[in-house]
Amino acid sequence: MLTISLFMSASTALAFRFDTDALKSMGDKLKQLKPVSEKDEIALGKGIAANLTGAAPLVNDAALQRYVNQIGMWLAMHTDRPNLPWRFGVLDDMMVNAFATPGGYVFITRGLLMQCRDEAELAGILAHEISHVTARHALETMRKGAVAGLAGDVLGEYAKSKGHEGYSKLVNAGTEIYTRGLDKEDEFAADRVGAVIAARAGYDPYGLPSVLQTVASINPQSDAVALMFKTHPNTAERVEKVLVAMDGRLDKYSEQPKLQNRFAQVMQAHVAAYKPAKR
Amino acid sequence: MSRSGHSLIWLTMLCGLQTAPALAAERGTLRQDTVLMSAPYRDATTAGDLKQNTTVTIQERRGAWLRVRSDAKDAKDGWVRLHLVRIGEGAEKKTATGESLGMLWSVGQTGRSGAQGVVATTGIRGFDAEALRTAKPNPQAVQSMDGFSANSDSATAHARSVGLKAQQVEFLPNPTE
Ligand SMILES: [Zn+2]
Repeated sequence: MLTISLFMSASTALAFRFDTDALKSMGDKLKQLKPVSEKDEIALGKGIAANLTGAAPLVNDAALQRYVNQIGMWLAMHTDRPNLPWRFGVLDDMMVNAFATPGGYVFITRGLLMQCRDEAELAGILAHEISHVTARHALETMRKGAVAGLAGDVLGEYAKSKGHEGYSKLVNAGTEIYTRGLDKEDEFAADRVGAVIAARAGYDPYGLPSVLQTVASINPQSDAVALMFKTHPNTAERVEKVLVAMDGRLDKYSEQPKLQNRFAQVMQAHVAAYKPAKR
Repeated sequence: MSRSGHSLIWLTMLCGLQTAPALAAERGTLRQDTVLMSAPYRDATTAGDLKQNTTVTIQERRGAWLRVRSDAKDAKDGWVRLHLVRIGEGAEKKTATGESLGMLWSVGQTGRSGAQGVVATTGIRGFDAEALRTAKPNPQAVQSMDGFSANSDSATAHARSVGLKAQQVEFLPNPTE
């Protein structure tokens, strides 16, 4: 049923009908699926990014967008996939959230950006998202068919045909992940890896648990955190877990810069010139 | 009382006082009965204890630790683990509608009072699951992101200009494995 609603909601809605036999044969096929090429991964991510920016526009502030891209790229350079076409964007939306698509499109909402105290906290969030990309969490979620039994099969079909219709189906199936969330363990892993990437890039790696602690303080009944809380494990649990993982290993990097002043300057300029983007 | 200690950071900055110890104004509430430490280490000596729901001022942040100070006359001062403190004052209450996280800079103008530390609501529909399901793809927006992108040279210069230094750091093992 899940699969049907997924495709019915897409603009390219097609009437998919399948029976248990078909599902079983797909399950068999999934086991043989080859890894997705990087080119296909990027194309898929670009399509999902278009859906995300369709849901919320980019903040109309070039200086802010460039600033976030400089930080994001610097962080990405300290991963094992530095050469992806990394793109970072601030979405003009007061919901508190961040997203990453396959291939290296990373988004943070203005609502979450405004919660950051300093650049190390922003870097922590970006590094968490970057980790989802480098570990191919969303891609693997699709491939394993965890979102929809069909997704993996569509992925295989697309790899063969490269047809436009296959692409749209795949992008819409992939976008569904962003309303459902990844596996909890993927999130905890992205917290651990994100803290390490921030430390490698020279930041105080406690920026991530610090901003998570702020998010954990937001009333869970607030609209602004509804989607993020639905798609992520409990935030307080994330803070505790990442702190335990960091204990005795990353403490020594806690004196690295937080860059509160540079962040404050950028945010002051942003706030002073802010005009809501057209929806 | 102001709606949140957190917003005070921004107020302070926006008043052009960013050299002031901005974080000193941040307020928090203890999530549980807590033993204070005299230094930000597990094996430090203790420095008293505080009850659940005690309101504190956050004095300093260091790694996994916050230095907090209680309001009482016999103010206690010491270090607690980050996750034991909720940002904001008072017991958690239901959402105060009409307040928005993004409007921190207008707190002074509206003079509104928030019942809880970090209030987050939106009057308009934001980026929720429904908005995403019904979104019309915006490939032009994605294309426009190319214009803001960084390359490794520019990113390195941006990092070095503020003294960020790259480090070799191993990945962390999963403690639950
Ligand atoms: Zn995540």
